[in-house]
Amino acid sequence: MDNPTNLNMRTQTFGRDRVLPVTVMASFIALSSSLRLVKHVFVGPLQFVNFPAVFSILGGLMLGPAAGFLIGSMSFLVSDLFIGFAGPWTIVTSLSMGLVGALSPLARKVNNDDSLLGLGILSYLLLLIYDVLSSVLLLIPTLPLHLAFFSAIVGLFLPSSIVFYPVGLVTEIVTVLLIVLIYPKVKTTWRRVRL
Amino acid sequence: MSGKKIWFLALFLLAWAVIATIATSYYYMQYTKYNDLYQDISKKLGEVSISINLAIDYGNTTRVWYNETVLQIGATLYNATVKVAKIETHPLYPGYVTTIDGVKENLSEEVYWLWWYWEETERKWTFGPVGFNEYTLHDKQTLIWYYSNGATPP
Repeated sequence: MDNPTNLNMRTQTFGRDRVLPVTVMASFIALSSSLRLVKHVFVGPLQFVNFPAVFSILGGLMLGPAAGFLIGSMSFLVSDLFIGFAGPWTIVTSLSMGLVGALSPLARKVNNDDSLLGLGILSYLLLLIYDVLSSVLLLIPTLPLHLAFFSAIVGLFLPSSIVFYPVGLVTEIVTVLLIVLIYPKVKTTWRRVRL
Repeated sequence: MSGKKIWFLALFLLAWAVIATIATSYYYMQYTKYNDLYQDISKKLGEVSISINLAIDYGNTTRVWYNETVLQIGATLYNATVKVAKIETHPLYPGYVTTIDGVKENLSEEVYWLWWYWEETERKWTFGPVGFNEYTLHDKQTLIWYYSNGATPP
């Protein structure tokens, strides 16, 4: 029979195990939404970093696919509402980012030795999936699939008369660098908190 | 191969894939853009122009075809001929061709520059009924300048 002290400890541990991921998830959603909002306040719609992607990928790596999905989708939904930019596209962007968050634990499986270069490459792939998928889905109502795909690639990677720099490429690289820079610290903090 | 080398290889392949995809997409979009422009201008051109097939047979088994030669509506065989060849006409009869691309008619051997048109309904060559400068062309017509005595069709 368990003595009351052991039972109490187990209950506390059980409660902590459940509360901790939810707290981290909520913090990540809040952080990515507020950082996106701050970026919007200072530089407007100019795009050079994808904060929701940073926290979706990191959240997915730490907490698993469901958490990654929630962080990704909720970050875009909440920040679009805050910015006053919510619309039908919010469904596309939030679900696409949710997919990125859900897929991010795969990066840990592929990247066995936890190399930062590996993490960078896999994060870049995930961001690429997000950028192409969301652009194609947004263009599909007006263009055939193949044209939507090629237009998305050109729009993301080549400067145009509307955007003078390769917006997709710049955003992806800055976001990946941010992930790679933050990840070691987040990883050690997460380990310490879990112990 | 060590883990780091594999990741560098992956990075290289990824960069290659991305650059190749960008280049392909760019050229495909350029192709689509210019193809649309071409189709548009062809359509507009079709409303104000005709297209004919014209041949020049120099009599020495050399027959040169100028297919889908585009001319404005109302163009005559004169307009079509000067577009594809250098010609000389009789000083007194501007509807009569004496030389095409340096090949001059030969009166002593009775070889002349004569023109024929393809009669689609009867499926045969028909001798040109008027001077080449008076014959108004129509769309998709096929004609030939034939260096001969006129006894046999081209």
